[in-house]
Amino acid sequence: MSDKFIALRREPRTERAQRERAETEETRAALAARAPREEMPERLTDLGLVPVDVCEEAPEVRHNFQKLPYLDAYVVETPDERLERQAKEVLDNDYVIVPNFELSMPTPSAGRSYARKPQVAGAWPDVSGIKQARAMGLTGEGVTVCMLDTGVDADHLELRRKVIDFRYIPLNTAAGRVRDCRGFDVDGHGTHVAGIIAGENIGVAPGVELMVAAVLESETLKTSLERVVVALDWLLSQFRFEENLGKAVIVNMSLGFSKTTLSRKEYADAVTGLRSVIDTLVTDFDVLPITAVGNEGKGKVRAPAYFPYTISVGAVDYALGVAGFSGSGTSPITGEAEPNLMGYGVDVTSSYERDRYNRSHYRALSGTSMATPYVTGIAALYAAADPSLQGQALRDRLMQTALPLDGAAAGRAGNGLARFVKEAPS
Amino acid sequence: MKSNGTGPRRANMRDFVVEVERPASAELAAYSRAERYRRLRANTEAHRTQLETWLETEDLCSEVAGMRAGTGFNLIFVECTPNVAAKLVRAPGVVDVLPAGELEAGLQSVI
Repeated sequence: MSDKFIALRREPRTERAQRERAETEETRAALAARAPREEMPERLTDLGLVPVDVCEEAPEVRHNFQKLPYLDAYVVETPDERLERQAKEVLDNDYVIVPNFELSMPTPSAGRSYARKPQVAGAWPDVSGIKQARAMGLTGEGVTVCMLDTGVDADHLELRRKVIDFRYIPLNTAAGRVRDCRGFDVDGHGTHVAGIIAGENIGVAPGVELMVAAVLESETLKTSLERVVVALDWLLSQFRFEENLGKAVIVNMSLGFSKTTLSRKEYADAVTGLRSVIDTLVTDFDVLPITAVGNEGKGKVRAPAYFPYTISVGAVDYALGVAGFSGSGTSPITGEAEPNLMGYGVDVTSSYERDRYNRSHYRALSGTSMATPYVTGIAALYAAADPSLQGQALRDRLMQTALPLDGAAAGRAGNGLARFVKEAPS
Repeated sequence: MKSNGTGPRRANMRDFVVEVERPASAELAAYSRAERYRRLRANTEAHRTQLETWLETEDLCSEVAGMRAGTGFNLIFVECTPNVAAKLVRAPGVVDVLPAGELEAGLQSVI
């Protein structure tokens, strides 16, 4: 949680008529300067807070406040809880106190970018078993994969020959409509994930039927339980159609929910709601959720990866070394070690956004959300080879056939690298 | 009470998710996925209707901005005051009422 809070004036210190005239006659700052003198700065100073200029980039004092003259507001920063409480008491009469929730933006990708497909893209190592699967004619055909992500660029070279069932789920499902349209991507991330799963030239399982739900707002990358529920309800509604009744269905969730902006209770409540949804998917519909364990490194795992019945995925490089960023830990629900399996998640080259000249770009990205679609693709190959493998049975097959990573530190690599193995285990 | 919440958000209204009772998975096991979805959705919609009636009976509609349509999950999203949310816990068929705010999905790409 941030050490800062913001105090916004409850009632302006000037008359409304005066403010309206100020739009054309003078600046608001000048008007505020003529407003009744406020004693607030002195009162905050008396507490031990140091006034700093809004232009200062990094105040050197730990306990400080900034006056925002145009907004007639204050930003107060102090790591001292007692001082924070006192400052709030001083301000509370005339100001509304607003917490400064921190929003973490995604790390900008600096991976290599290509304007055409590089040779490395789609060159899955032999140990993955993907070549074996191809030799058997397996591409994931007959299996449905549903992605919850930023969307998908359906016109990328790798994806444009597929008919991708796409829905944009609005932030406010009450005011906006669920859009059934050509797939688009607000970020590029979803296109990258889709390419790993089903890219025509680079995907693990290019024959799968792809459903993509865009549930994340661009830039803010926020979503809500409601958007996730609406997206997954759309998935379930596909079972109304006879041709879908018996299909293996895998949900790829290359995203994890962070508690950085939520209180402990808020996070717990959100997890409770999501878990109820995942339980229904698994128990009543035999869907297999495959989720990213997170990029916070050892000792940290995210929801929904640590839920029971999901497969949580960590990342290895092409030398089968566990990536330092790959999360691991114990599920607070089951007490079991996470992740369950590993996938290639370092410098994975896949489809990205098209540019203004309509060139289909590729980019190398690293993360457990690159490893997750790799495992999803492997799962789809197994389900294509044996349509009776669904839900938890499919999960068991993946866990049993994984390549153990004996060199990995304890608790960091689960059962090992997910791979396709031709013969069923005895 | 607007059922789709298309009006402007009023002050003190919050988003909540109401978990309602549902058929046990064992009861649904004998049916196809299509029938399970149909039954689960019908169950949620029936609870939704029941909640609307209950809110009217309790004279709480003025504190409810909207209630979303039912889905195949036993969760009903409601925009209402915290006062209504606290009372909804006692409504028939309700298992729990939780805040349903925004979640931040930290995407997993790193350098």
